[in-house]
Amino acid sequence: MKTYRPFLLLSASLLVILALSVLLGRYPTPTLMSWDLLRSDPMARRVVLYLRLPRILTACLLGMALSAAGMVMQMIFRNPLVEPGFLGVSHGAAFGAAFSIIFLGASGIWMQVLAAFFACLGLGLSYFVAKRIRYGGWTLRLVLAGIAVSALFSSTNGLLKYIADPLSQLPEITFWLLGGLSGTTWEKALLILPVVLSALALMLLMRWRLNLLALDDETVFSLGTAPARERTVLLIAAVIATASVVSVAGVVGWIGLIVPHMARRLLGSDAKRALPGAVLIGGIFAVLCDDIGRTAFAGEIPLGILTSLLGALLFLSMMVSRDQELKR
Amino acid sequence: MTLPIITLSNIQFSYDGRDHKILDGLSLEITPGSVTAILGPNGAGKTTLLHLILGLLAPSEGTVLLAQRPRTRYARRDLGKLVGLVSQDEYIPFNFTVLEYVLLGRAPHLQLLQTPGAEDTAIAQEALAQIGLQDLQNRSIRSLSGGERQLVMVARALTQQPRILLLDEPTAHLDLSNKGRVLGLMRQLTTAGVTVVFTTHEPELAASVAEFVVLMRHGETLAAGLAADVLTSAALSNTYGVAVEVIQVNGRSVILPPVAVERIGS
Amino acid sequence: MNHRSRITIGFALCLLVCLTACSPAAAPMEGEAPSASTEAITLVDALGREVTFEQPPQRIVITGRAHFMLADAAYCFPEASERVAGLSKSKQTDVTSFTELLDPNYEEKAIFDAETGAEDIAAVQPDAVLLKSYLANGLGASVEQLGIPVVYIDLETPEQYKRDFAILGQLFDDPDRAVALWGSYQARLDELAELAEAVPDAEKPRALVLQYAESGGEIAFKAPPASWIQTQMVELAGGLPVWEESVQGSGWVVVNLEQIAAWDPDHIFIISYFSNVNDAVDSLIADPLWQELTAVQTGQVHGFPKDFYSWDQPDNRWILGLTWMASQLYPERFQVDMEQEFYQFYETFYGLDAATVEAEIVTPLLEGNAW
Repeated sequence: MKTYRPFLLLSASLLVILALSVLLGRYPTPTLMSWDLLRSDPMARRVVLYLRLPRILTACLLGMALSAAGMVMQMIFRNPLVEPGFLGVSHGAAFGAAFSIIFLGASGIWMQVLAAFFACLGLGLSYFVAKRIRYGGWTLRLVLAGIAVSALFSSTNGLLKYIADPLSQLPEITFWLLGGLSGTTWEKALLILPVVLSALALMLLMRWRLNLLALDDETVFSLGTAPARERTVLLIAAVIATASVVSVAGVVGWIGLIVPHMARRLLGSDAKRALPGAVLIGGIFAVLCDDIGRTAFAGEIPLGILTSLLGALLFLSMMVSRDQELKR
Repeated sequence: MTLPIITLSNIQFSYDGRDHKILDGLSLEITPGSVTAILGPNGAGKTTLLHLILGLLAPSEGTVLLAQRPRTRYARRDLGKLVGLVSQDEYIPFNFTVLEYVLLGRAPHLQLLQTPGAEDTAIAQEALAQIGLQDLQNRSIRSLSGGERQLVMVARALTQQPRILLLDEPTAHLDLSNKGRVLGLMRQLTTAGVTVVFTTHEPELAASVAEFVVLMRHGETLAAGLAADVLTSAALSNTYGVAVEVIQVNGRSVILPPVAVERIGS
Repeated sequence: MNHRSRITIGFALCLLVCLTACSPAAAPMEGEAPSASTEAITLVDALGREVTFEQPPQRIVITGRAHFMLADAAYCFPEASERVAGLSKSKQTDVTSFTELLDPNYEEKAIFDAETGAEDIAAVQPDAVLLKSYLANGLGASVEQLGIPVVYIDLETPEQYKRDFAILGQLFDDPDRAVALWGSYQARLDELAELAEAVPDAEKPRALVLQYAESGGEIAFKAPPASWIQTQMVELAGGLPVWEESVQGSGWVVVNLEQIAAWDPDHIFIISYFSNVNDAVDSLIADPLWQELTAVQTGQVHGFPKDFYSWDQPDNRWILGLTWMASQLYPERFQVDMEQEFYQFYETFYGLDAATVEAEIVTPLLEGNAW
């Protein structure tokens, strides 16, 4: 059916890119690995099985989670210019993870829990502060509040780095705050897999409601819906997905902002189509960026830098190009 | 005598913590299957009244009954099937198509995780046809004019298929022909058994379509009843605080706007 | 699709996903299973992990952050040039690296970037990788996933040097060498401990260690954290580190001139990693703002010597740094021929004769008033 064609294309692209990414890397040389090598060299198999596969999976989940969370936040806050990074979510999650490294000495489950908690806190704070600001439209207020809360958390992170034990805790925090997938193992990938998939499933199941929740409170109410309740559920799913990927990959920005825009451009504003589209595009985008980051140079480029670079470029080009009317 | 479908008893309402009462001891009954106009100057509390009926706001004192049941006893979704609202205007931050937007009216009829099906789409398209906007269904909603958008909002409310339709200043941006369209639509709905309540500050509108009229000023009702009885020169002058004249032309009430106090340049 | 089947599918999906979470993660092999060979080595590394080798590793890769400290320690063992297969580029020297000087087989080795990834390391087919222990969660984890044994060491403090030299001794299957090397350190530490004990705290000289950092025309002075070796060195040399209590932090902390004047220490040691330390010291002595400081007036501003690497760092030259510092703090009580110590160091640790040292190290590289 014609309406499914873009999704088929996107899904196919994602699968092709995933398959190619498995063969892409720096072992034994920075090119595509050949099938023969994979069959004959046990080290090649180990590289693919234990390094590349979990990493590609995590990158894909990261892209999907951040894109979905970004779109959900944009629609719920009725503001196409927000993303988890702006609203204190990513930095809150970063703070939670850093906090758990220093004061609880633990990783794994505790880090995820604390990351999720502080991510929610960051979002709540942004919203609360935005409501309190006296001037400007809702868009402006939310962005301002989000910037302030994010700054608050990231400077607190700076303080945490300051007091961290320089020999053991600090390098762990630093490595992690820079954002990147270089230490990804199956353990980490499988830790976030159920969380991210569940949150994605919830957001996707409720995607049509997102359209509704993007309208005025009066309208939503008149259509028999409790806006606060449904918005909260969706936001919690978005925040948990974000916190989960932030806890293993650090702060990776711009995906949550740019991919929803791309999805809307391609598929229309209806979240029924745009949200699954964003999920697919997000996966493709993140895996591509990570492929470049780990293959192009001997020294790995952190994922956050590549997503910012490519994301900002795409954003600029979209802003500058003329707005075309949606033709379908 | 049929039982009223909406009953408001002694409603008091003020916004949180403020002393100023928006509505002070207001009581009202709406006859089912009728068109009622709520008429009054700006700031009389008309929109607040609609929001109270809808349940968006809760009165500080007094009760709201819908179909003889207290409004608070209705589940949220059932309320959505019962009462629909068309606001004055709406900020739509995303570029939905007209059809996608109108489809949102089906929300009260869908479960939480359900998406609209072919039947829902058909209902939405029918609503658009009723308004005469079927050609616009694939246009993006942000490309519409103010008037077209207002009509689309009405179409969304029609898609909702409520038993009571509340409209807040429904013709504010509409030209004469579209105004006529909406007014005709209101009459059509009542023949299908829907109760229509709309607010306006223009008496002519009330005169042309309403069976019942409620006059409001400063949060209280000054008069309520059949249009012909309420729309008198005396009542209107009292409501608006300026001299208003009502004359009969061809069997219809025509309200003459107040004469300008001074002509400029003379 | 009706509503009920949607919910069912949604539930099934969540259930499936939760079941996936319960499946055990793939457990990678941990090197070869140890056989009962007489040559098998089992060592316990800095993180307390037991690492077993069937035979002494012949293709060791040294990389990651601060790899040069590990390499400099490893090359104290004569086996290193045969058994090290991969090294990394250093940022502190852009001339020939130290290991190039030491290793006749340098040309055949794989040279990595400091930020290299696990795949590049795997391409060299190593049988052991030596890393700083704080890389355990990052690079180390990835390398371990490939079944390549990783040995973590720290080499940040004197205690760790003692432990880690022993680990290296086991790695190179030359434990006697490790004991001998540490013996040299221990002897000097004991000597200085005696000295420090003999002097009451009130009489100990007050010292300040500063890194002179210039960037974009701006000069900043930074003090090291209390836990780093630079601070410990001052204490071991019998001095009082004036900044110890007031500087909190986990890295170099910028201090301004006002604070330096407030401390007004007896000795100021200037470190410069990336520029000529003699020039740095000269410019400070000439600076009118510094004229009021006691240390300047009494001629006790010292440039920390450096050759390939500055002697203040936990690279194994720290013993030279410590000796030199003690000689500056106690010129009467601790008399030592630094020049001789220097040549002795390179002879004992690296087997370099005096002529080579003079030609390759002293002439092109040595800075600071070492002797």
